[in-house]
Amino acid sequence: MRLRITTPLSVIVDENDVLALRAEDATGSFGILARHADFLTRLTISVVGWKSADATRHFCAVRRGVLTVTGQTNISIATREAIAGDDLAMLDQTVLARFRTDIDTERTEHAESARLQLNAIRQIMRHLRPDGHSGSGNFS
Amino acid sequence: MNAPPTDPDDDQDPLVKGVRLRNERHRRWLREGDPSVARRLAQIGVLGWIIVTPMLIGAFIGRWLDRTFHSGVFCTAPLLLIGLALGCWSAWKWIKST
Repeated sequence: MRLRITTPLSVIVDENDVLALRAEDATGSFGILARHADFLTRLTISVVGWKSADATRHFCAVRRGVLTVTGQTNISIATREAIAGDDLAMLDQTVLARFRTDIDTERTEHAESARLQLNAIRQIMRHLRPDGHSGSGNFS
Repeated sequence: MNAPPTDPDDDQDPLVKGVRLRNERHRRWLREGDPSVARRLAQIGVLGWIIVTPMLIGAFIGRWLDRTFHSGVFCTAPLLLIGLALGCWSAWKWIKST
């Protein structure tokens, strides 16, 4: 089976040869094997787990989402937020680390955009005062 | 955009809580999930041996005493029963402890 987990911004997981998958919706946990009938459900905040062809297990925390099974072998999950990990015991740490990096990125972006704005304003001011450093300009 | 938590160490985020809950369930299943058939058989086997071993020990001691004192089954029978009682009592204790 082919499994794809996508968020609005990126593809988190794209894997062929998935043997079995477990996920959770409002009615509880369920499993998907190959040749499952076409299926559409709404996931809860939960952990999706699957077994690869080499018998390793993988996990992915999802913040809700939509799971579809089409053509008996294609599973796709569209979700707001997905964080993949190979160890269920460490997955909460991975999730927290992701939150931290997200916040750091956002902060950096914020600082960058503030700097850009300030630069633009400075440029405009310089443009409006071609004589440069005259204290009380044309605006007063 | 779905707002990420404002505090990076916020353990109350539902995603983190969900992950921890499932991890806990998984660990508990590993710990006290369904035991395998072999394990159940081993349990039954251990129970049998707990009852039988004291009886055998009692019977052997009784036989040895009877042979040294030439007294028929005067020692063997009571020691066998004492062994049985001891075995049943320890089996009961073992079942209660597991």
